[in-house]
Amino acid sequence: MKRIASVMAMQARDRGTWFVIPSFALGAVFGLAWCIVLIHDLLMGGINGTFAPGLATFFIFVLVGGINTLTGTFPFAVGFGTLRRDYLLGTLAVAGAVCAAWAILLTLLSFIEANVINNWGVGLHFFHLPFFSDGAPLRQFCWMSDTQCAQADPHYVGGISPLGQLWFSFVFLLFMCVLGLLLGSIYQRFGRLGEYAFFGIAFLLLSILLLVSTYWSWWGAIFGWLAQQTAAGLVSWLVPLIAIGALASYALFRKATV
Amino acid sequence: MSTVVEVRQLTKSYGGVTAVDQVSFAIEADKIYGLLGRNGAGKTTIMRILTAQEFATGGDLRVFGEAPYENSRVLSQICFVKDSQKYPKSYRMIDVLEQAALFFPHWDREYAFALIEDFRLPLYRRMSALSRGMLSAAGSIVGLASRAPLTIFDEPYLGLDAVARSLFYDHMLEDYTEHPRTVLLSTHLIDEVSRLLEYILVIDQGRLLLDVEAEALRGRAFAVVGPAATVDTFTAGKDVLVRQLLGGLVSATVMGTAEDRKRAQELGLEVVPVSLQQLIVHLTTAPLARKAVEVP
Repeated sequence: MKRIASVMAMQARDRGTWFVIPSFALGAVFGLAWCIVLIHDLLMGGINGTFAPGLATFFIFVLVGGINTLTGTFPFAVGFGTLRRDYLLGTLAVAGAVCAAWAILLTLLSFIEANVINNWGVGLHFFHLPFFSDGAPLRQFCWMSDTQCAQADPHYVGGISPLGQLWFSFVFLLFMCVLGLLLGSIYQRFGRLGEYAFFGIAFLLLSILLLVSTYWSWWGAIFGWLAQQTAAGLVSWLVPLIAIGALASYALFRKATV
Repeated sequence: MSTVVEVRQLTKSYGGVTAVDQVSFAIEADKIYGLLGRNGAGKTTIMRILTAQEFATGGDLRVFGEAPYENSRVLSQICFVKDSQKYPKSYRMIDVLEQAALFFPHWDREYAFALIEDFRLPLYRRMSALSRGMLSAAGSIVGLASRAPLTIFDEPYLGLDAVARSLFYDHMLEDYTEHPRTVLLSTHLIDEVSRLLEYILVIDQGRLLLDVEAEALRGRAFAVVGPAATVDTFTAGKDVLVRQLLGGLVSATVMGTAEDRKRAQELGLEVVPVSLQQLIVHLTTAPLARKAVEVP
């Protein structure tokens, strides 16, 4: 336990990767979107609702953070005698805590956007997005009626579901982070060639899937199914993928040299 | 006397290259061992295998009586300082010291900070901004302050100036006297560290050439200089490490006893001492491609 705590301390010491860089990225993208929407409003005369997909940038930063964490701390920790298993557990614990903290912050900002400072005064939809933040996810995810939702979640107002968004943000952030750790592990184990091979194979599999879907006309069924899903429900499919990603990462760096 | 490291028939090959070839040796507790050899001889590979950072292709390996891989009882007692040690990008010296305190159970915080003063390292500068010499000093500090029962230094002096090197040697000797521990040190600067070393392992092209007490080695090798005929008479049946022509004279480096020296002097040959470094150079010079030298 003490050894896992040492790994957690090592990860927590790297505030740059976990908090500072994502904060700056989020702040910069939000600031930019806000300015653009403001100029747009001034030119068009009056506030129009504008949806900015800037939040996607933030998720990419979390992915890159995962890669940097592994390639930065794994050789350091194992070089100084840390067990690979302890490294995995300590790193996952910190990643989980950090993703939870970010998910809470994103949900809070979404709530503020929808209820406190209405669309940041300029009609910008940045954190509170339809499908990701609206009431449907909680209802369908929890199989509850509107009234039941309101009872279960005190913040459930007018179709906004902080609980649903919290779940969505947390799972998706953790997924990106673990995907980053996995990519970092591939690099640690097989180097640059391993990365190329991974992306090559992933691209190939995806192409085959697309081809097969077209050949057997699965698209109608796929889109039909997707249309019925909610963001929180969809994102739940990532939970087993997160577990697989973490195990695959461990399987790779179990025998990686440093 | 307890054995800290026991290696039998250790082999590591990458594709067609054999980096470590059936190496066997043992390291006793509370002694300073020198692992000597040329670049690419396999020194670092052996050290990395001992610490489970690299995996052997064959052979048997016991550290503190157990296999080191994923074994906290073994790994928590080792500190391995290598020149390629990586640090997280955002880490400063102070972060490394604080983290090392968590990684190494025997860590001495005060000693670490005293060493920082002596080596004049900036505590708050990022590791990525340190010079080669400063990084080496940082590694040496971690190694010394870890007080790990088995401390392994892989060429700890790279880029260090003469003052810092002698600081390192002095600190190591002093700390070793106060807190006995097993030290395995690889180096090229053999003469500089020869006073520290108690045992010497010489490795060349992946094979162990020598495994001997330093004192025994120092006493046994010497060179004789004189006319070719006399030198050849003297060296007949002896283990000649190197034979060189010096004008009309011949110089031969041999392994022998004190009596052999006396005999050489009686024959009118000049007896010249051979430093440890010269001896290692002779042993590991390619054209000779020697087999292991027998030294009791």
